[in-house]
Amino acid sequence: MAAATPGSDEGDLALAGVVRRFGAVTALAGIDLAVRKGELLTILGPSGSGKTTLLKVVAGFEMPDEGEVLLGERRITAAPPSKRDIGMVFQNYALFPHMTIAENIAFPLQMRKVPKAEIRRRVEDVLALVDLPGLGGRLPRQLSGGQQQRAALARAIVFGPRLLLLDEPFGALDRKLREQMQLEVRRLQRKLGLTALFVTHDQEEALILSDRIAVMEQGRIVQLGSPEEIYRRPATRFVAGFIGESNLFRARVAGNGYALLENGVGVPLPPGAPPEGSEVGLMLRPERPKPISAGERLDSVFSGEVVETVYLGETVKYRIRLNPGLEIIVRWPFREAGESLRVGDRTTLGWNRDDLHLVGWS
Amino acid sequence: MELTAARRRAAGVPAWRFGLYAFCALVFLFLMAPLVVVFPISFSSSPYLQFPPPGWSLQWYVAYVEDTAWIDATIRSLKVAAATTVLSTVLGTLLAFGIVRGRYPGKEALNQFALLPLIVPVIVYSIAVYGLFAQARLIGNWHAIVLGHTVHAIPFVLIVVGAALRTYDENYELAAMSLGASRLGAIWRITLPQIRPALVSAMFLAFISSFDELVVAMFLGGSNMTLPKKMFDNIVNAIDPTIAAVSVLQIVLVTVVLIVVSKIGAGAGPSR
Repeated sequence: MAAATPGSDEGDLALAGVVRRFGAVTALAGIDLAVRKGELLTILGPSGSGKTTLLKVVAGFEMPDEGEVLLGERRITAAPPSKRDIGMVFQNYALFPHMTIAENIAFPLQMRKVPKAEIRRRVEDVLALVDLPGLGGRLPRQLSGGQQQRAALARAIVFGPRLLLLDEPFGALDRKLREQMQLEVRRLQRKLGLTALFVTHDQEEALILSDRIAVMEQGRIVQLGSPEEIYRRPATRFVAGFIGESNLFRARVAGNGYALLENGVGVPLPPGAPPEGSEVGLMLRPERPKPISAGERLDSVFSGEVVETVYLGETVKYRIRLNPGLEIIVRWPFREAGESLRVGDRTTLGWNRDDLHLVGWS
Repeated sequence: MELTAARRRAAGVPAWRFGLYAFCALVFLFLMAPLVVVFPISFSSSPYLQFPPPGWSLQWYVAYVEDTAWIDATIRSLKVAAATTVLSTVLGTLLAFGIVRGRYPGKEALNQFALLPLIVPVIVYSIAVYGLFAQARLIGNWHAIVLGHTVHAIPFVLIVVGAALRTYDENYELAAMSLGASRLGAIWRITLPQIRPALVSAMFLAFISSFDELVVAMFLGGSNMTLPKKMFDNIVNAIDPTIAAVSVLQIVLVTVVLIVVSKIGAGAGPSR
């Protein structure tokens, strides 16, 4: 594929101040983003967050009202989609139903006036690469969902694009196939050193696949970081709620390292808390609290009553009503739950201050 | 449950089902009876429209073929219908794209306006166009009939192609563009092949609407008669079974076109 561009350190694909409005609605409210060469960056957000518009702006299906889009050294803000050198895998694959798989894959090469013999060779190579050898003569509807997905991927990479766009490409597959395809796409993307921009609303998928994740909310990128950063240290209340499961308690910083929950109970805070009087959200991942046996010392200790249990295989999820009138969700390995709690059982649990992560409340 | 349903079925069938069958049969009869009469008459040996025919002969077909006025009218009608088909399909398809895909105010009004020729009585339309074309000295010219028929055929194309475009997933076109095709190239190579059945149907409707049309052709044709006009004159002036022979030929032609259309139209469809 394309050789590394010198000096492309700050980004193979770069968006600077991109704004897109539809009437009174601002779909993109100033997007700055740099995708590094060979990286898979995921745009993650709920529907209506602007992620699809962002993808369309990059692909050239929408023109930004303000801002610039750069691919390598090239300004492509106003370039038509056909001149952008971007391969895209669509949500429903958009394989042309009146053409065979081979014709589909040959399409971008024909558009680039590649000689016939070379087209044939490259189509065969890419079919082998995506593990569809010998299926070139089939029509799209004669393939299974997973095979169509591979064919769509083959068509998007056969012409050696600078950038690969993936628009929720796994949504139509069942769970098992989806996981398999996710790993396969990741393997191919790494192998070919493709820079890829992946759009999804599925946070689990984003955590599995991405080098970095950009979380979008209301037309803005609210956090950009590695999956681990995003999961462990969400920047805002929205991110904390959107990525993974979490307990989020509203609290007010009370000084001397404590915060008061809404019901007046004091909780020790991790270091670096905001000034006294600030409203904060205390995020606690369900796997952090521990069941407590007598004599153990933790920063915060509560006892409560189990109100719901959900078996998840290796772990069990409990909803526990704590004494001071707040509920918490915990997820414990099946064994550690001991004689496995039942609804109505009483239990004592606790966490250390470092298990908490603080986000702004407003 | 099973039993009562069965009983109800047994009791209900004769009453209203029979009535429905009878009604359908009558409708069918009224529609098809003229054809049943026309075919034998066209092979009649009698110089009058007599049924049943007293004897058999091909003389009316011979009369049709040997009369240059009939042949001229037929050729002119085919020419007009072909030109109308091409013109209305191209313009109607462009219009359909504009109305389905466009983002601009007044789109719905434009859609209604384009469908007006279906609503305005043909006679009103014909008189209006006659006045307009007379100023332009177009009367008597077969091109004038083509223009008149094209305006009339565009709504058919707009409805059929518009419906196809509305259900068409535009992502195919976007995909083609991202793969290196221009917008026009994507429409030509990806969109149009996928809506081919609709295009073929639209062309057929446009062709028939022109080939059958009398009133507009009457006003605009002058001495250049189309086949329907010639048939009309034949009925008014000197009625003889030639008209039956021509009708049979017309029916056969339309049937053939219809068969061809269903052959071409089948197969290519949007993704299933």
